[in-house]
Amino acid sequence: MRNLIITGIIGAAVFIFLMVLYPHVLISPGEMSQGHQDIKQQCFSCHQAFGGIDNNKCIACHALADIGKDSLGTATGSVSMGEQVLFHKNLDKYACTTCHTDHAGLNPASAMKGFEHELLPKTISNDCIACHQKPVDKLHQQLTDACAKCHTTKAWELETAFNHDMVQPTERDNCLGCHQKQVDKLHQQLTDACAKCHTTTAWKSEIAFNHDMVQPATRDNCVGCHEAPTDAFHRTVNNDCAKCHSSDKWVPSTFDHTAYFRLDDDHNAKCATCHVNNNYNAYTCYGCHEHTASNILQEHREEGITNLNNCVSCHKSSSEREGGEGGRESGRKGGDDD
Amino acid sequence: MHEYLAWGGSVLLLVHAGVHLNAVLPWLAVSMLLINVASGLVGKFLLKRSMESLKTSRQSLSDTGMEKEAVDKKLFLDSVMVDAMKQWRTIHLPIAFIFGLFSLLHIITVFIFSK
Repeated sequence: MRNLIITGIIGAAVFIFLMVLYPHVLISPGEMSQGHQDIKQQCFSCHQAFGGIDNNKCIACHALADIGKDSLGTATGSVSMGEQVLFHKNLDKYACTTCHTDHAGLNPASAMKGFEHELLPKTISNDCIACHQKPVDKLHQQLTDACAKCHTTKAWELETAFNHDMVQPTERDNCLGCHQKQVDKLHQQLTDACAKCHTTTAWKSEIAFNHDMVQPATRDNCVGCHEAPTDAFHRTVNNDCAKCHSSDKWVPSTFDHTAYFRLDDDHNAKCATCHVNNNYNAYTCYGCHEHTASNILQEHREEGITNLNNCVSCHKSSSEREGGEGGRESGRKGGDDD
Repeated sequence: MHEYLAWGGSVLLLVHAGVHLNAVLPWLAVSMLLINVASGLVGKFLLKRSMESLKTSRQSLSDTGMEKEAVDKKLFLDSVMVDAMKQWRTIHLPIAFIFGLFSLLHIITVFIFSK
């Protein structure tokens, strides 16, 4: 047992010695940044035993007054071209670890916890292009340097809708200067006068689509742009949409079946029962009634009706008061006069 | 008591360790923790069951009227194996010591280098 204790003590001492000799391997929580590689075995260059990171240890190498970034330009005159933007100059009251860390990898960018623009003097934080490169795309070329009108220091993506009034008046109506034209079938046949349907506040049209803008040759081909309804009824009809619908609105349909024939309880049938071969320009009643023209003729001969091609001229519904027994007068008139 | 505390402590330490690979020392401590738990399980279940099994075999052979020498001869290999496993405690203690050492050093270094 005694030997075991002595072995344990010697083993522990050896391990502690190795820790002191190779702290970077045994106790460092991660790779130091590229600039600190020379001191990666010297923990107390930055750390103070039981005291964290002392600002003075950082400042000993990185003087606040020297830390800066070469200016890229200026919008407010906060800095001259080529001069350094000294954004650490007045930050001596903050701990360096507020923004910086280490042991996060070789890349120095990994050692940034996030840039707090609020810590900067207003003269610098308002002069965005002193540090940031202004985008060189067509949109930003024609805008002023008042970046804060669209962007914040928290995120580059816009938090509010883009104000189109900032675009130069000569370019403001040239939507395709910035936006890509939709490549769908509808927009391909339209002109570039986007404002006829769209506004600068929303892409979804705030005004009704003017079908007159569609090329005359394709204007009647509704299914070229609209998807044909797939319900049971529309699957049986052809694509002559204008017969029932207008370009103003889809619902309600302009077609009124009752004007021709009322589909009451006795005629709750499938369309194809009367309109055979998907032909809605014609109909037949023989599918259910008497089945042949000669049988119908026998029924109507005593009434003196001989024109049997247009039943609905007398029979507007299943009511016996129309046409048939109860409506001989009107039936005769309808039948014979047609 | 020691076994229950070991179970609870091991679970808490594994949660604390999480799944991140940083310094080597804490991972050595976690490795030793797992080895320590495995060693403890050997002691608690394997050795206990082996001893019970040997005792049962010895009893059943004696019940058949077999002489003690004959029983010892028949169960010689089993006895040797159980005797070897009884040395387990000699191994378990150093493992526990190394685990404790690594854990202690980890805690001390954290206090030294953190605020």
